[in-house]
Amino acid sequence: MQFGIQFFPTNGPDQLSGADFWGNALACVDLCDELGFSHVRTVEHYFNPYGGYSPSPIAFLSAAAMRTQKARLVTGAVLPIFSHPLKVASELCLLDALSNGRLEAGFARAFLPLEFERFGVSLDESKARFEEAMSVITRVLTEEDVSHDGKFWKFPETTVYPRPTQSPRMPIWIAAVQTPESFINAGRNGFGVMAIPMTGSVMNDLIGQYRKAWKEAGHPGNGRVMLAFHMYCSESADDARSVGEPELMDYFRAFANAARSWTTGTSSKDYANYDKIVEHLDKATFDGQVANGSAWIGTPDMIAKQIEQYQETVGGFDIASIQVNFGLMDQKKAHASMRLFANEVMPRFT
Amino acid sequence: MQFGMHFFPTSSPSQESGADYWNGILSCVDLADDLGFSHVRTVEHYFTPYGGYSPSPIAMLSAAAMRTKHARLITGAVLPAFSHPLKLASELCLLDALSNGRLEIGIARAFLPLEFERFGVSLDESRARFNEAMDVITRLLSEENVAHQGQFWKFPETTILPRPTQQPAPPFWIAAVQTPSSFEYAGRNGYGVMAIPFAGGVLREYLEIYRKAWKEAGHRGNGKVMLVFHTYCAPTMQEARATAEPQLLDYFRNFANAARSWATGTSSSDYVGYDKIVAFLDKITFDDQVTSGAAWIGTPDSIARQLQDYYDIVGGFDIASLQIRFGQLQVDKVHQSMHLFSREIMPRFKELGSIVA
Repeated sequence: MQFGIQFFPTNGPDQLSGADFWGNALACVDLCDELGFSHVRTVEHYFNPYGGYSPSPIAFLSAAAMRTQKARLVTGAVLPIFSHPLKVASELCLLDALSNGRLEAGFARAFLPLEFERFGVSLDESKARFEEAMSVITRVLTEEDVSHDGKFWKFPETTVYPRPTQSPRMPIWIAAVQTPESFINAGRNGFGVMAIPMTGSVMNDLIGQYRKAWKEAGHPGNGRVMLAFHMYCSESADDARSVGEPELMDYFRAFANAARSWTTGTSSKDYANYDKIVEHLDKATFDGQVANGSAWIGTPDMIAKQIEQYQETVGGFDIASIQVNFGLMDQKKAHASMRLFANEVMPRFT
Repeated sequence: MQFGMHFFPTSSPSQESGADYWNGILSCVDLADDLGFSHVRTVEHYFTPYGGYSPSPIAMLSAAAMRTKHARLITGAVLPAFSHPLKLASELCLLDALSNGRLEIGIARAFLPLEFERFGVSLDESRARFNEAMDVITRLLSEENVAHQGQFWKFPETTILPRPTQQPAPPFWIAAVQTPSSFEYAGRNGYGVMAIPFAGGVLREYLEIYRKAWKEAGHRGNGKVMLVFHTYCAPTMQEARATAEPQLLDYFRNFANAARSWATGTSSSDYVGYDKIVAFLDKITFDDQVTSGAAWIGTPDSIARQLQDYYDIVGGFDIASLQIRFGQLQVDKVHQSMHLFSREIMPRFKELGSIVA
């Protein structure tokens, strides 16, 4: 099992400046290789405190590549439908080059109406655009002189520069939330799947379908599943709760604010049940998140137990992507948490 | 005068990989602060060896920001035509944050038909798109809750994040080549202008348009002019020439190839005279470039003379953006050139230009 670190800003300008937020993130990145965290990852979001400080995972990861030698750099995830697939592919290749071949390219469909509205992209075209973008991107990463005539984009023979550093291309991950179809497609295509830890039994089923589709398509191995968790590790259970709880709840508050239009009228055929997903997350509690293993907040023993239990319930996943300094927590505490986790939890699983 | 470093890759995969190219460049960036190079800059281009290894100046400069503490990071230049101004403005603010407020925003119209064709953008919309993008981006950087209804983009009240680190916003530079209205636009709006060293007399006229528009709009000072020069400094003229001449010609060969459709039929009212550029490029010689002062290749003394002569002919400029690694120049030779330039040339020109180093 591997453990990487992830940054998902949820603050606004009256809480933390961009320079301070990213300075904090980079200070954590500086510990990454030393402590054995296997990747650095961030999101792509806009216009709202929920992720908005991170409009370009490629830019941040280019910086993180300079502060690490071993860690992989994971876009979690690029939103191709707000850009042009040729631009996205070119930039990913640049990051692969800057990092000497350490990029893992995760892609997602995007899901916040407030973003679609501002980029002038229809929610109802989301699936079709994403599929066409992925088809273009995967082709131009591995082939030269690619021409394309699609519904949303067309171009004559084109070769994207620079060529990928990793051969034949960097690994690809698809972000999937809850529809079996997206897990099955990822498996069939031989892509990794990046997901959020839903209730264990739901996850078990989805991961099972992913790995089944993977094997049936004849890909070697078992597929790769990456799940994201908040983590705060402390010697004291009281400290863990007092630091972790307000920051965790802040995350869900930011999410609910950003995703609110799903519960107040917005709907789309490409986003079935998003109103339910948002309502569900709106009701998240600290204790609930800890109990179901989505938030790893406690002492080393408590967290180790959570990981064991979650692994067992979901039938095994491969990589944990953990938010290590979330919300407005004291950064010294975040570093201590990272060290404690690396020294006393990780060795039990790696 | 300030001297920065500018990277315009022309490597193709058969010459060197992207990783090798950028590793070499970053080793030069590592020397920037110590040797007194005041900025790091790179281009935005796609799909051919002519700049294609640099599709994202924002990503590259985010990396460069980690290898420097003092150098400014200059996009030279971002191309709003191929992006969405909301995305571009947001990413610029991210870079400003990552660099603790060292971003300078160079912005250009783009000019390669091969790029427009692949991004599905019409050449004839180039100027209109640029103007609308500039309007949107400048407002987004300095205001919150910006709504926009334009010809190419529209959005409801929007605040881009993160907010700029520099207040009220990072400095802007307009890339201008040979269209008088571009120089006038830059001057009138109080932006810096980034240009290329044409035959000095021609550029002088454009810069006069710029400075006149600057003054007439009531801006303080004399404007800010940044010019690019291929630069290679060596102990002897013979060594400089032998090393740099083939690489300089390689650069122009790649330029001509990428721009060739301007000479084979493509035309646009937004790009008057661009057909002539290719003919000019095809005929360039090393000696022309050195004699005209566009390429600073030689010994410290000969370069110092070139610099002063060009400065006088063009009517003054403030920042020299040096292409220190062009073509396939060996990186260790580039380092030596940088050391020599820093030690022997920079100190002679501290008082030149309206921005004192």
